[in-house]
Amino acid sequence: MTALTAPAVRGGRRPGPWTRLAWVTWRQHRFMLAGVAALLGGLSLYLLIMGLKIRSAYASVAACHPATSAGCETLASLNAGYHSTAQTLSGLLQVVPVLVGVFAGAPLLARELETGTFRFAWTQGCGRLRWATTKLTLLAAALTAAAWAFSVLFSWYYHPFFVEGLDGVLAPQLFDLRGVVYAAWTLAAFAIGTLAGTAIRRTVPAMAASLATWAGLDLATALFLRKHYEAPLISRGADAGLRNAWVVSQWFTGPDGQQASQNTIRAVMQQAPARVQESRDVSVPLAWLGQHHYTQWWSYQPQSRFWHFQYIEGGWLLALSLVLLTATVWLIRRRAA
Amino acid sequence: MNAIEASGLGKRFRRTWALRDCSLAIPAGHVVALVGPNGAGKTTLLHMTVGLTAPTAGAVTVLGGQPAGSPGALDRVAFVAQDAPLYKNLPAADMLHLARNLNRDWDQEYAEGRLDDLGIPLKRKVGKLSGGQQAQLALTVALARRPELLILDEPLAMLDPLARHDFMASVMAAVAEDGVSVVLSSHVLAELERVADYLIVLARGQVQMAGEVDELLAGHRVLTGPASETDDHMQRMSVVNCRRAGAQSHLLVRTATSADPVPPGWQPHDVGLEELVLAYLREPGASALPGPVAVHAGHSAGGPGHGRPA
Amino acid sequence: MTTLTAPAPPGIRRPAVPWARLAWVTWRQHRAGLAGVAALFAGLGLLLLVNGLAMRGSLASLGLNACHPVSAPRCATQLSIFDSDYAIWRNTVPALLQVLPALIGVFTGGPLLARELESGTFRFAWTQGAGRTRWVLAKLILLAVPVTGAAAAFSLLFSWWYQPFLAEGSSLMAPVIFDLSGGVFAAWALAGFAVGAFAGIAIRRIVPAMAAALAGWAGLAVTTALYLRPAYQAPLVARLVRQGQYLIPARSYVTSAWWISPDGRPMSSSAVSSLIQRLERQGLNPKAWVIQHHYGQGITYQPESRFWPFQLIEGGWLLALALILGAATVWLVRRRAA
Repeated sequence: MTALTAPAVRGGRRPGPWTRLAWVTWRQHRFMLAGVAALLGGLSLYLLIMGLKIRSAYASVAACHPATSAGCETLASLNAGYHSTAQTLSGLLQVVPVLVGVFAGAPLLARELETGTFRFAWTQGCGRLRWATTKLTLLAAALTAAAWAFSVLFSWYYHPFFVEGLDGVLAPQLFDLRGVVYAAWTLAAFAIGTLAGTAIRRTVPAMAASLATWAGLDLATALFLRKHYEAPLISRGADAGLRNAWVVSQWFTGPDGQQASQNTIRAVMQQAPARVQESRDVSVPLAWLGQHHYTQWWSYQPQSRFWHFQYIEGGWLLALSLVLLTATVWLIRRRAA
Repeated sequence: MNAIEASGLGKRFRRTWALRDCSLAIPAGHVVALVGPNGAGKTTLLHMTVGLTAPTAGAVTVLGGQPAGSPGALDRVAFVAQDAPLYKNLPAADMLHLARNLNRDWDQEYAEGRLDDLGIPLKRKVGKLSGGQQAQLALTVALARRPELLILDEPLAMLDPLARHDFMASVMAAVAEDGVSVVLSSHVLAELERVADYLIVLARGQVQMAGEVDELLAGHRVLTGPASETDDHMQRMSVVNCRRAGAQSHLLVRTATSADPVPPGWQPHDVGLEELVLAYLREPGASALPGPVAVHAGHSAGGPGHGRPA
Repeated sequence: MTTLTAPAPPGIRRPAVPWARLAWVTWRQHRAGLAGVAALFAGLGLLLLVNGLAMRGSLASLGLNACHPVSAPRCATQLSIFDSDYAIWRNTVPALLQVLPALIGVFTGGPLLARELESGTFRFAWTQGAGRTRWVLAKLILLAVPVTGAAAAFSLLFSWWYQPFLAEGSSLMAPVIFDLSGGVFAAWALAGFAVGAFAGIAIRRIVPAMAAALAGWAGLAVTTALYLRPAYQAPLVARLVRQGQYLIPARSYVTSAWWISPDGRPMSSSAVSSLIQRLERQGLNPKAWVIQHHYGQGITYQPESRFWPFQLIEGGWLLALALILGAATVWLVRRRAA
């Protein structure tokens, strides 16, 4: 004789399911998070130390009087080494977002799918949707925040060089590393990685695919897309707005107002007097060309548009990331075990 | 020739001994069941036999003195590890081709014929086959190497009863046709009872029983009688295990011959293999190991030796 | 009834599993990886080819071919036109190509052994008749050779592509160019692969092995570029002869520009700035004082003539490193217990 049992009593205080899922996420991915923290932490330490050094070097130059004496000029020239190191460093730092995407994003779901542990994870009480959204949200937030903090530190580090006018803020290498765009690229890399992992279901191919996709997207943006966020300004001849601006293109027009090809310019230059052709200063032949009604035109983006471009790029990257992450969750939902 | 010989074999992982003082001499031409609870050391023993792991103590040789893992041994010993690891992204045909290229002896016709009989499509990726099919594929690859010794680590764990039956039928067919020695490990004895003719029981990292099944069974019987008289007889007979059920107790005793006298009021029964093994597993101090044998003279008298009675 | 046997006599050794068979095994298991490497080099090679031909066409149409030397003021206008089109390639492409050996190490070397160990298939592979040593040697050698070959071919193409910039005055000794030219690029690819394979057997899990391979390669590359390579041979020092002019061979790579103390040695930046500050405090004119005391301004540089000796040195130790790591990988495979 069996009696029906009463429903189980839900008593006691239990942590909310989100806290538990957060713990699961942390416990499963703590090595990855530690690795990212170590990488960014080490780089941050370097930036901090070098940044302080650079600031004191520039301060001592500023404090040097009179500014045009040979001594002060020599002091100023010593800072050139800092600048070239900073430029090399900015090149190296480009890879950090893609590393995050490849090593954090792609294996996240690909490993579960490849090793079969998803059959455990997706049949637990919380269900696959909540599991996936919690994981993706928490990790994306953590990685994006870390990248944003790092890019703030980098901006601080590079500030003296901008003040000196050594670089334009819109230069591709530097634009990528500052403002909101660095964090946005990191988020996009993570999203690309997770979608690749879920779609391809095998770890190494997913890593390769997300690397290739991000690289293609980044190159395409830097080379083609970014120029067109806003119509570039056109300037005839050298202009104050051109200082440290990002030059999109330049060309010559002839006396008839039509664009002059390279060959035409070359042919015209050959008729110039010897002292013009052999002058070391580029402005001399340009002046001569100007006298003969050949004008140089510039199409450029001025520095003042920096934040505008940052928000445009950050915005569409954010939208793209959200779309990719949603697609990832949708794929998880649909995926038959 | 001995299929496997181990003397004082032991393996330590960090601080625990997974296997200790293992000495075995398994004759060739038998189907050996290696049985024991989970964690007893079966996989460790098998891995040392095929050269995947190096022993911490002692040594193991196969097929008449070949050191385990040496090229001569690798040639003649086929191993199917637990969970039948195969390259999941290769089609079955490529898996066969791969195994062919990694070995000197290979019977392609046999392999293809077997897969055909089993209905395993050659073009399908291994990862897409069912668990039973993957196990059969792994067995096919092992058998197509035409080994002299076939070692299978828990091959039946993932198989349904029908698949198990088919698997064991294949193994027995190979034994019958080619005289292959087979060592099968499992933690479920019932599956192996029908086919094994040599038994090794591992418990807690040590060999508790080793010997031919016929001899082991002939050397034991169960005596059933009144519980009150149990203690009297326990002193005089070599009792392995005592089980009380109400007013009766069942004693598992060792007998030298079947003509040993039975105390009055007690009934003798033959003992089944599973019951025998379970009884020994419940008594850690008991063991049934082959005793020393005379090397010279034509006939050597050996049999289950005497361990410490319970 | 069993008797113990004495150890078997050696007997006749049968011929081992032939290498051709093991080659098929390696190919079949890793053909996707090899195809990926081939596609990567082919794609980038095509890019360089197209761009190189375009550059040469532009040079011809600008008449820079006929203008010698290209760095003379006469050719300056044409050069600036050429530069405005192609300077971006000169600046970015060599920097981007630096990552190729890392990619090879991470994606080809890292998963090579780690995947077998992580998925347990090594229990199949290491108990086959061929044995572990042959199996791992076949994998390592038969993957290292095509990868290195492809890298060597690619670096030839790169040298061809970079030719016009050399004529302009860029130096082969510049770190990013040095890496990609001569034979050193192939050596870096081989070393990257070796680092990846070793990480795979040492760490035994795929993603950590790939991360370790990347970190190892990055550390090696940075250390070499910053510390090792300048030390192959001490850079030459040249003093400032006339204002703004140094008598150094063409296409040398200037490693630093500093003041030189009277005894001919370069001074560090801190020494220079402290000297200047000391002079300023004493109210002296630093310029006159340093000329009086025979200080000079100078540069340290590596001349182009050292290109091939440096290539041999770097290629040599990279090759040795790859061999050592390869041997260590084989040793670990042999030792590794299940």
